[in-house]
Amino acid sequence: MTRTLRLVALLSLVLVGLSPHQGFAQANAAEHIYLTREQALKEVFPKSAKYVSQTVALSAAQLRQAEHALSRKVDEKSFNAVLAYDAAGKFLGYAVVTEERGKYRPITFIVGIDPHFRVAKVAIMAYREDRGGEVRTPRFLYQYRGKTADDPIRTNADILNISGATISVRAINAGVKRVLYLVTDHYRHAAPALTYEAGRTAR
Amino acid sequence: MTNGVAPRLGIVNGVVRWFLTAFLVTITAGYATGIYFVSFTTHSSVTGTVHQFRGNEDVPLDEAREIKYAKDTLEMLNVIHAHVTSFALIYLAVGGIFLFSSYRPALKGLLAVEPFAATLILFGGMAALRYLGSGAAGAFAGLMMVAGLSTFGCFLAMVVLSLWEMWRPSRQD
Repeated sequence: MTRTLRLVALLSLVLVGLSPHQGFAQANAAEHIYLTREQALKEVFPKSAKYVSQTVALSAAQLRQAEHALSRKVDEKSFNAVLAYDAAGKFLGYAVVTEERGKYRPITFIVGIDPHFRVAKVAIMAYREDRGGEVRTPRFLYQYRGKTADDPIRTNADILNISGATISVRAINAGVKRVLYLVTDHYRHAAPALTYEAGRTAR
Repeated sequence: MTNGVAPRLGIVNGVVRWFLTAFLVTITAGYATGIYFVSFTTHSSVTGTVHQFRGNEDVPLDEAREIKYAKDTLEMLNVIHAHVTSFALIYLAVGGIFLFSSYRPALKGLLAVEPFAATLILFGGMAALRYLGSGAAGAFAGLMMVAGLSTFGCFLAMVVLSLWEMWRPSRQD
């Protein structure tokens, strides 16, 4: 009886050893920080030199409207947008640092939007999953350039999937779409200052 | 001549016959699903197979159906170890059942042993495709397709012949 139990235990260990180590691998997944906030702002607006940070509060009605437009739950009660200006004070666009959950953990990325509410650039700032990190490659992120809130921004509609990174691709799609909607919806009614002056911004 | 195994497949009955049949049908469904999956990932072509393991960065975005990057070493190890191990166990079970059939020993030996060799060629070809020079990638992809087809051919033949021997109308119950 004892010999049989030992044999069963040994076989179980072998089978555990043979199984894919998803659970263990996920527990050991490292957090990769690729860009700080300052680096990210320069990444999406390379000519930017001056910034104005604005926190935009969302009313209950705006939240409901956003949820209806995006067909998903929107958790944030506000969002922080950075208005970017070049050295001469010319307005370059909006940048929003945001997060979307990948398979297990949040992906942090920045969405740069030009003054005409088109995506200027998307850059991944932090990736924490074990698999799917290919979403930070320029080849993939290039697809978001020029997208507006009216575009589907959906896998296999106007965004190509990355083999092996499907969930991360969906997360970036959802985040870009959400940021585009929130920025477009707010700033088309409240246009920001188009020139930057020290101490104040002028409309 | 029985290849050292008594030909009992033609006389199994009752629960044992249903048990073996259920196993063969289920594992065939699993295997077929795997092949269907592979047809999606490789588009059943040499080029698709090369792209699956070496990436498709040479294809312009507007011509690609999906973005693929070269598989990293951890992914390759995961795919190869899982498949080689499970293929060995599949062919141990299916070949083990087939060896109890009454077909000619040469046929039994060929169908039961060939898939093990083809499995090593298939996944050896996969590693070679990924890591050896890109000039030979197409040849290794072709080798993988031939090895993959031969493993499936042997698998299917063993399943069909085993089921036939167990369920043929003329057998003596």
